[in-house]
Amino acid sequence: MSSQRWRAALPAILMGVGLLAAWELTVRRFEIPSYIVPGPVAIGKALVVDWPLLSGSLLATLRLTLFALLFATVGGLLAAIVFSESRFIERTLFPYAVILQVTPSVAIAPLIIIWVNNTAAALVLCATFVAFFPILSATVAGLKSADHNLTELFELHRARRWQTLLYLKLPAALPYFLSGLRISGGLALVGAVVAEFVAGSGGHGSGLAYRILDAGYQLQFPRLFAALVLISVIGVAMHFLTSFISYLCLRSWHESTLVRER
Amino acid sequence: MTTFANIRGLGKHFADGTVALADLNLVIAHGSFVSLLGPSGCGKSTLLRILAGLARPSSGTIEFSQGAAGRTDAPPSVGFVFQEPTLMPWATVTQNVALPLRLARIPRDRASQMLHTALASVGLADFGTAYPRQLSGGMKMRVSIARAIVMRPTILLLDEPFAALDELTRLNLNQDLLQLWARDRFTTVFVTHSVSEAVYLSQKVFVMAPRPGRVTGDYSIDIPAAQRTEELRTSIVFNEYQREIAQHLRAGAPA
Repeated sequence: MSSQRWRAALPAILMGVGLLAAWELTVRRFEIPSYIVPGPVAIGKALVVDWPLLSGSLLATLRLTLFALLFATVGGLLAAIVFSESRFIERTLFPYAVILQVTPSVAIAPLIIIWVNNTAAALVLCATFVAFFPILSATVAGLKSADHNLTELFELHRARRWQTLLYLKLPAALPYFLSGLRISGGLALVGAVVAEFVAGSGGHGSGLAYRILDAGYQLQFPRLFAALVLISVIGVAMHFLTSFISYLCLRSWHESTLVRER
Repeated sequence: MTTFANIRGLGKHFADGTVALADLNLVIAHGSFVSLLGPSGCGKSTLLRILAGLARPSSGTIEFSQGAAGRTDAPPSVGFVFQEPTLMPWATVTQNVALPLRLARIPRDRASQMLHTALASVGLADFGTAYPRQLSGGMKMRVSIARAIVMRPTILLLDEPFAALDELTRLNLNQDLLQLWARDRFTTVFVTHSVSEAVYLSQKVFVMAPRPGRVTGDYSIDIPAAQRTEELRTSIVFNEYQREIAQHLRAGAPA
């Protein structure tokens, strides 16, 4: 990072340090017991002491989130292409897709856990379900967004259907797809946490949400907060990952990446 | 002079009852530069779209002397320039111009040769790797023209291509278009609402009137290609043509 970027980030860093310090001081000054609110130092200690346990959970939740995002991306993209290529299929299926989308996934999660025997598969299915729809609806909208005159130009040159899809519709849908991806990246994590809460299965390979439940039962609040911090870390990582993918795809041509000098 | 397209009794109405064209007759000579001139709503763009095969006439016929695949009712290979540059923003200048070659799956060697010719003929040889957002309006229009001529079409159709550009850019592009036409002699149909642009470019100007869209007059512009330079714009001949056609347009327009 250049010194200029450090300077730009400085207020946010100072703000964070200040808040943590105030938190720690408040906890010490009023002698708040750690089973109500642990201070940052206690949480940091828990992160170190419980790292063998937490790191396994971190990996489990991270893996679950990434797989869910991957399946949601592939599935959403394929479904969107099928919808845009066949008006009939779209008219038949889209209303049901909307019903599924507006049904809170938290309500469906217990059913999936019951119906699917393999816990790992059930978790991925749950989280995928939550992350799927933003990609589907954004890509469907994007595939329809191609410029009318360009569409006519393709017609004029007697383009085949696959050519129009590959050279016109998919590139035109890319910015839409990517904003769907950014939303789904966050939702995949939400889905993963919800699925883990509902499944609630123990063992060494279980995720951060289970650690939160477990630490709560045992009144191990510093560990609970440590698990929470790690979930936030995954969330931030997903945000940067999807934003970076988006930047890589759009930087050369899209208006949103244009930097104007003033 | 051989006929390129013979349009007889052409009519077009839309579902909402608008009559865009009614009993329109005109002949386009092979290799000629023709302008369709008229106020908005006179159906000139509709006629252009029918010529391109993008819209169907409601009545009447168009006969092409060299139609596609031996047919006389379908247009031969067409180059089309829209009012906006209509470029793919995600593709470079080269990729945009190469689009028709790619769609027709022209073999690589021949395609790259045709591509270079087209880019060079509009002065874009050095801008191949630029993206549309980096180009000015005039440059984007050059890309659009290069794309229209890259397949060496037998007919080039332009729908008010320079209407949104500034005066100086428009004059330059007029000149470039004339040079292209003088070199390749594709039959060109140019839609415009500018009298001076029509006179400057065309061998033949068809004046159209609205409600319903029809041709009310045609003017042959007998100015040799060699004399169509910037000096022409201030000459007496040029102004005579302009005055005559503008008068005709005014007479046809209800105030």
